[in-house]
Amino acid sequence: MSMLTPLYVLGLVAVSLPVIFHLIRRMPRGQFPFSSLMFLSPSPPRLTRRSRLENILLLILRGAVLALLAFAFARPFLRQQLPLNSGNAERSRIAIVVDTSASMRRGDLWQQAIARVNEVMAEGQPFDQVAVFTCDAALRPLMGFEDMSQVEPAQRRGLVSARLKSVSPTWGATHLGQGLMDAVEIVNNDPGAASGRDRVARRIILVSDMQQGSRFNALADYPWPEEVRLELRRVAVSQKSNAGLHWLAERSPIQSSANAAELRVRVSNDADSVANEFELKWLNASGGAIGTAVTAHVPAGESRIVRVRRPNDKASRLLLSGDNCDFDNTLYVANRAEAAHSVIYLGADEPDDPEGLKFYLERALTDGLSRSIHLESVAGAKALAIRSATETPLVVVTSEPSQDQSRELKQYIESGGTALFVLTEAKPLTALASILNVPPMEVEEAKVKGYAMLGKVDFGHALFAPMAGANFNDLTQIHFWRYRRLSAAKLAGGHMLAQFENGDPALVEWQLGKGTAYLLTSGWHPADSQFSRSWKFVLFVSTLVEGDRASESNRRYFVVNESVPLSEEVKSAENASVTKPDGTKVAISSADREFVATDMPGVYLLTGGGMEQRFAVNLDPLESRTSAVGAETLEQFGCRLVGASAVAEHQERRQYLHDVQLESRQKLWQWLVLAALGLVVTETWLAGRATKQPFTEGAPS
Amino acid sequence: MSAAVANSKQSESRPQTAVGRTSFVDPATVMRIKNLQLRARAVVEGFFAGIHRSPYHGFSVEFSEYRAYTPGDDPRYLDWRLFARSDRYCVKRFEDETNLLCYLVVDLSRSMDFGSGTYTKCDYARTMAASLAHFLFTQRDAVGVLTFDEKIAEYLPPRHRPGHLRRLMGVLERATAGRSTNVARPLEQIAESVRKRGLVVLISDLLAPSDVLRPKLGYLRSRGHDVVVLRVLDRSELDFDFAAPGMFHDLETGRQLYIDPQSARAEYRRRFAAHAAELKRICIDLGIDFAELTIDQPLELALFDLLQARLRRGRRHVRHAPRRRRAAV
Repeated sequence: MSMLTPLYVLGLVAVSLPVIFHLIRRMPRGQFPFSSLMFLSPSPPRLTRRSRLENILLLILRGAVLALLAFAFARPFLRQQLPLNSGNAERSRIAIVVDTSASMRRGDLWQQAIARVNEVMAEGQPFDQVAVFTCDAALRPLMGFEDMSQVEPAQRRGLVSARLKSVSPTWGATHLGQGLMDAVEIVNNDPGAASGRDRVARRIILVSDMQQGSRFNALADYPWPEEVRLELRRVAVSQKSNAGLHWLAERSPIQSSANAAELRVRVSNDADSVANEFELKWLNASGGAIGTAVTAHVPAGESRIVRVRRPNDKASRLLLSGDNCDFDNTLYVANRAEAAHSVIYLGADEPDDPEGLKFYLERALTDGLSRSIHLESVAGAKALAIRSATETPLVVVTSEPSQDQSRELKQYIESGGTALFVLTEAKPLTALASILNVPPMEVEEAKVKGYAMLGKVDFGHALFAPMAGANFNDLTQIHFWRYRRLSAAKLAGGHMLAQFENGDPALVEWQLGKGTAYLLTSGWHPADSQFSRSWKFVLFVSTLVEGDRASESNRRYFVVNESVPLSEEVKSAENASVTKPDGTKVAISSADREFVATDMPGVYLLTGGGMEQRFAVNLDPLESRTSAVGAETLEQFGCRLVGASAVAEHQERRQYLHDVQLESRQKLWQWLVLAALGLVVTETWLAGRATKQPFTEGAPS
Repeated sequence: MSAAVANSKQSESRPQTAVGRTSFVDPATVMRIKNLQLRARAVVEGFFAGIHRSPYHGFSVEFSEYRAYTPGDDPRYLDWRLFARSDRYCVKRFEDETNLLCYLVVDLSRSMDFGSGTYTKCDYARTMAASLAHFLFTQRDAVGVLTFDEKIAEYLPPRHRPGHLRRLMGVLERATAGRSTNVARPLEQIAESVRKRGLVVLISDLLAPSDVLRPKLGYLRSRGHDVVVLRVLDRSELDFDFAAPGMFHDLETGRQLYIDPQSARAEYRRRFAAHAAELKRICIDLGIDFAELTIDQPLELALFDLLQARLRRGRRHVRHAPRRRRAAV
């Protein structure tokens, strides 16, 4: 039994008043000062007739009347679940957003999240509108408002609980900022509210671990509606040490094989971590350790870049150990494509001659490229043996090619290849002219006083676009000692991409068929210029090799839920498919431009068009930033948070209204007052009877 | 021992005699006189100036005893006739008729603030001390006063000078019942501070454990003082004649007890009488003159008690003197 106004129970104190008065009467009235009590002992109080309780029955009856009245004023009621009238109650439209990102895989976070949702469902009232959403990279409805409205209120909790048990945290990154914005729109989109029938309190209850990498920044420029309140129900793990492992780059040594790669990975340790010593070891596909482990010391809140040498192709993943959370401790590594790519160098350079062009080109090709490129050198009139424009992305010509070589080059360029002609001597450009079908271009040695610099560069072109930034477009530090002069008026349709200060062409482009031919009027070797000493040379070469294809189809590392672009070969191939790490195969049609089902970390196998390509999908690096942020972060982004006290107050008010309705239905106080009246009548009758009896000494009156 | 018995008998027989006299002034009437000196004069009026025998030996006219001459004695007082007779050097000693040095020691403890009538034991004790002082001062005796509660409150050394009696009365006027009580310690302090021997008159209710009082009174006596104890009590302390039960509040300790006088009276009287008997026995053992007065008794009785005590002491002294003289001779 509960009471609506329990303070009235204090009226029960009145029951004890007669007894208290009796006890006060027994207390001695006199206070006598006396010189010394050293000759006295305390006397037990004598029991007189006046100190005895008389008419105990009447005392009990009067006490019972007082007690019944006190209980009646306290308005008691029996607590039970009854369908209540929602007429006067405030209706709520509540969207419960449950974080299902990869960080929720830690410990028992998911079980806590289910418990929180169950709590919220239990607190809700039957006339509330409730919907449950999951959120990782995007907001997805688990049970929308429409679905929930078709379910009986009593069954909602069980249904939501069952649906939640069928869901588990994904491997996706957390985009709670965007998810909350979507939830606000859904909560605000209330067709019932448009009629203005009653007041609706709109609330979003976020059940999340509130990790740092939740991308709340999306809320920065979002005007959060005033009428929507956000309530936070946190989940947290007891052991917070977490470190993450993320791929940065892969590098192949110049003289080594393609597979003996060295990986640069980032080990980031969370700010809340206790551990700071970690171990990295390679595992094969079956989970066996390969090679020796590497240790890394990373203090809490910091990150370290670690170079890890991959022992062989069988080492398919790198495992980090030393922290308490395993979900982000594995880094999957994809092997390089089997098909070899090569750049053909046509010239008579000696091997490892630092005075030649090949020496610098070879080194520029070893780093920064998404695929392994070999430099094949062809000297003299030997056939170039170009396989295809795809396998040979670039041909560098530094000496005059033979007629056969010119034919090969023309065919290669027309099929989509890229050729770079470098003028190292002042000789007529007969071969290039024959390829381009233009008259031979006259070339002469330019007269350079001191050095020449590039005066005008077309940064809009794909070759120079990477250098277009204000920090990178200073090319004045590249000095040219020598260059060959070519008449700008006789470029035969060529597009001048760069020119020297005096207007002489430095780099000219000709489009031929699907491909491109470039002419550089100076070499990058020390005799001609400082070009090879600049980092811009490496960028120049890599852009030439990768081209505007940007090698998207050659990328081997992705994060979960990132789209994988598909190459033309794959799209045009029949029976192309992607095998996911769990063994499921996803077919690819010609209409697919990219593969989007990268929903789990691991190594994916892309097959089609007679080729096999592997790519690795890993966790989003931000997902490893698991230290929790405070509610003030959300407040900073303008979210209108409901404090814990406000939540309790709301629940209290709800409970009070519920109790008022129960009490007004049961009206137990009426029965108690009736019983009190009955007792008063009985007491009056008994008292009257007692007073009529003659008083006899010693007998109770 | 015979003197002690006589003393005891005397103190027991005196109240009936005193109360029977109609010439005494009712103490309640005396207490209405606000001025303490006038009050004392009213009590003392009618008494004669007396000569007190002193415990000190001096050189006056009445021969007391011989004492063997020791180097350093004044040779003027050598009795040459005795030397001629006995061939011994003896010095003659005479009974000194010097004035008495009297210390009136008044208890101002909290228990003295009790009185069932219109005045308290403290008022009665002050009046008694003032009367004694006045009486002695008129006999040209030196009188001092000392008041105490838990420690000595005020001390006025015995003098016989013009104005001394007024100062003494002033001390007694200021005396009110103290905040606490401890009879034992002030007695010890008195014994230590009063070096010159004299008559110490202790006016107190002596409501303290007898085993505490015994060593302190003995210590006072051992310093050579003649001690007279005048115990002042209220009639209700003797009879415990309260009628209604109630909470009795101990003035000394603040303790409260629920007492039903009807059931507690007999036990109280028994224990009080035992304590009083023990006090008397202690005084007899120590050679202290003891008198018990209730505050409804005439104040002149205190003067009688004092005089009787002095007379007894004088007789005792005279009776012992010839024996000493014979021994000296």
